[in-house]
Amino acid sequence: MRGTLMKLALAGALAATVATPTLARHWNSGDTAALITGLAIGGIAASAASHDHYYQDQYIPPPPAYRPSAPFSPAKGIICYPRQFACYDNAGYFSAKWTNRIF
Amino acid sequence: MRLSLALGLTAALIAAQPALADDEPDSIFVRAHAVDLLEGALTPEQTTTLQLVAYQAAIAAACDGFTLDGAKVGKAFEKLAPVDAAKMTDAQKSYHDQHLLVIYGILVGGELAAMADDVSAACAQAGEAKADPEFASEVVWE
Repeated sequence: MRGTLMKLALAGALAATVATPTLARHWNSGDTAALITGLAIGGIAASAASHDHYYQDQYIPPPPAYRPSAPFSPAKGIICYPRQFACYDNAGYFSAKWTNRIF
Repeated sequence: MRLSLALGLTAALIAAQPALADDEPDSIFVRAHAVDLLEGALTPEQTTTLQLVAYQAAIAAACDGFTLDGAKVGKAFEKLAPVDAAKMTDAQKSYHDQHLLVIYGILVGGELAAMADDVSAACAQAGEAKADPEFASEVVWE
């Protein structure tokens, strides 16, 4: 959580720096809304990029060494999606047979 | 200004979603999220086992002639024990089990939703899987 707060603070500082050239005119409510929205998006991105969302008792395994490949067709009418560890038939139904065979 | 903000926020939210093409099956949307939510808790082989059990549970719930075998389901879940169990605390192992049950529920629900449009076709395809000798070791139906 402390890391997220630090990132939010940095995002705020960065937003303020970016906003500096526009201070030649009056700060208005639209600018405030933009700053708040920017901070919110920055906070969401920072949270997503950190491990802060993990539960206290959650074991974090080492990242896998492989990178899932693109979808492919091992047979006519079958498409397998490595990222989802699943194969489907042409009708869009999950194929247990091919999922078991391929993954 | 507001339009650009809305577009920016929408782009950020889209970027946070698993990338899916328009021609992909509807249920892969749920499956993609379920696999993401696993957050590496299972190996690829275990992920496949969990999906096959969830699929068979959905078929048993929706199709006549398919009933889950409790003992087989239990054995399948034993395969889903954490591979790093020796490094984990009891609390982490307990979390692992609860985490898997949540993902299992998502997968069963996603499968039921996917077959809702044409249950009979899904049941017929499940019959082919049940009759396939290659799939026999993964069957948790009676």
